[in-house]
Amino acid sequence: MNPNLKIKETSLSLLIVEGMDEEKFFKAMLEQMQLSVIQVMPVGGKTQLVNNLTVIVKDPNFKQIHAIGIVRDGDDDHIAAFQSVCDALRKVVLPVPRAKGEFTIDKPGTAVLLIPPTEVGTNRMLEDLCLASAEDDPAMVCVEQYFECLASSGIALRDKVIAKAKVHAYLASRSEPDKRLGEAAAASYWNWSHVVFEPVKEFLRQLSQP
Amino acid sequence: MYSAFTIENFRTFRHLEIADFDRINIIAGKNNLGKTSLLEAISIHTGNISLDFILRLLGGRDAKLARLPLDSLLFSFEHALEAKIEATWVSATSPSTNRQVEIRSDTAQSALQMYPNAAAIFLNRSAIKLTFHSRTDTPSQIVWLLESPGSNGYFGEVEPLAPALFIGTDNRVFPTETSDAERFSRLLQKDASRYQGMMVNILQRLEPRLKTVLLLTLNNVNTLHGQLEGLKPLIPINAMGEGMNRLATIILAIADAAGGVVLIDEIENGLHYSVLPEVWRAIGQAARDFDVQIFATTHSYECIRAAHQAFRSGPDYDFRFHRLDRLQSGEIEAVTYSEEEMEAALDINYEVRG
Repeated sequence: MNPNLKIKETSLSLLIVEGMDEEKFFKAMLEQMQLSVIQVMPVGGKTQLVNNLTVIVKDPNFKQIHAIGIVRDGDDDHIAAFQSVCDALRKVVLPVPRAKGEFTIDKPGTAVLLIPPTEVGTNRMLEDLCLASAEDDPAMVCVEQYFECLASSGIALRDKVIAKAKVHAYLASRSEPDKRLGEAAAASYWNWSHVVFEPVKEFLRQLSQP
Repeated sequence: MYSAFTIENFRTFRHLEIADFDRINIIAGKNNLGKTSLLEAISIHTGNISLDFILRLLGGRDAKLARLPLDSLLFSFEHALEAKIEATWVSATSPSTNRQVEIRSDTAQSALQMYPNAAAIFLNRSAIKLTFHSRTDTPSQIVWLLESPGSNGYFGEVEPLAPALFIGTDNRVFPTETSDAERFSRLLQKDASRYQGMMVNILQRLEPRLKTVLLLTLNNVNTLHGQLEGLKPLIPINAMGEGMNRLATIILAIADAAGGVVLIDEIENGLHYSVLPEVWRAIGQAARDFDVQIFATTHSYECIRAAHQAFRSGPDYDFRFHRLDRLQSGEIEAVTYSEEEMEAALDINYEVRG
């Protein structure tokens, strides 16, 4: 199997995300924003962040990187999520930001983007952000009715998976109904001009600055 | 064993520090960054300097090709520079030896001051002078004069720190005076049943039908032959495929360089990816049994992954992966990966070769 992860010679910034779905989502957003100097790197879940940052800083092209953004779901505890990323940065001797969303002055600049950056949704994950961007879509009325129907029929979904389930239900209303969240981003099924994406876009703009 | 090297002004290296060597070392990196040059530097440092190896150094890695100028050993072919190779050799059986080798391009007249008769003959020829310094002994010198075919000059001698064999990409072993058959014969002389069994066991990893390995003399040439299950005639090992030949050469070199160093350029040549983990297990076992340190270059990700997996699942993780990178300044830097870093990189299929 050939390796598929490395820092490209043209990359100046890195956006470190968890999995392939996030990778596709942010690649689509960056393409829409025409920010080609940012390279998206999927490095696995939270527990693998330290190990994988160790590998990234050893990349021969790491020295050309001037900023690193790390995207994490906020989950139940924003403070703990932020601290866990800071601990990982400390362990690989990279600058540690003082607060979420802020870039360090020391180079390479680092910053942590917790998703969603503003109070939306119930599960504090990328799915909440995407659902918020679709709030005005007529299909969302049907999605909500569908989940109410499930609840009234005694089919209870765990709170933690509600947002994921709603994303699937919403995407089932698109012309190609079998896409996952990241694939849907590549197909422009999410409304990039929605205000809910603005803090994320601002973060990416800062990440792209030298 | 060596644990670190400092190299200055040699080939592509203006200044290279490379450390954390273990028993088995893989060196990777893009083309023209100095992987083979590093092997050459190590070989020179051991003091195993033979004329055929020198010709190889100056033959663009192929002694049959046109020779490079003597200055090609120096960084940027800069005649005025002095190259230095410094390291400490630690042996279980003798005191540690720190040695610095200086390499200068010189005139024959100046380089051969200790050999006035030769200096008079080779007047105005150019020469390369190697001076071996250690804290305990008086410096030793070797002078090469390689102006044209037929006038090769080689003066002086140095006590090798340890045996060292260099296996090229084409499977030629330097010094070339000894063949695989000779090495196998030496082993059989020590303990015929043990080492014949060892060779069969190792080569069976590539060819499970192999029953025995024997030496045959045909046309006055000794060659290794193997008996395959179901076949009456013996088959030359080198006719069983590049991989069999490569592995036999490597294992016999390890046995012959007991207590020393084996340097292997592009180790994966001729070996199918599926056998690489077994090949590394065999090399690791032989290196431990004969107390040999291995330095191997590769371009193959599968080869690196196989080595990591083989040593991680074995009794000792006595393996280090090193990569040569070119910095923006043009200098070459060595990056070494720990076991944990290799595991993390290979787990996410990260490119480690540069």
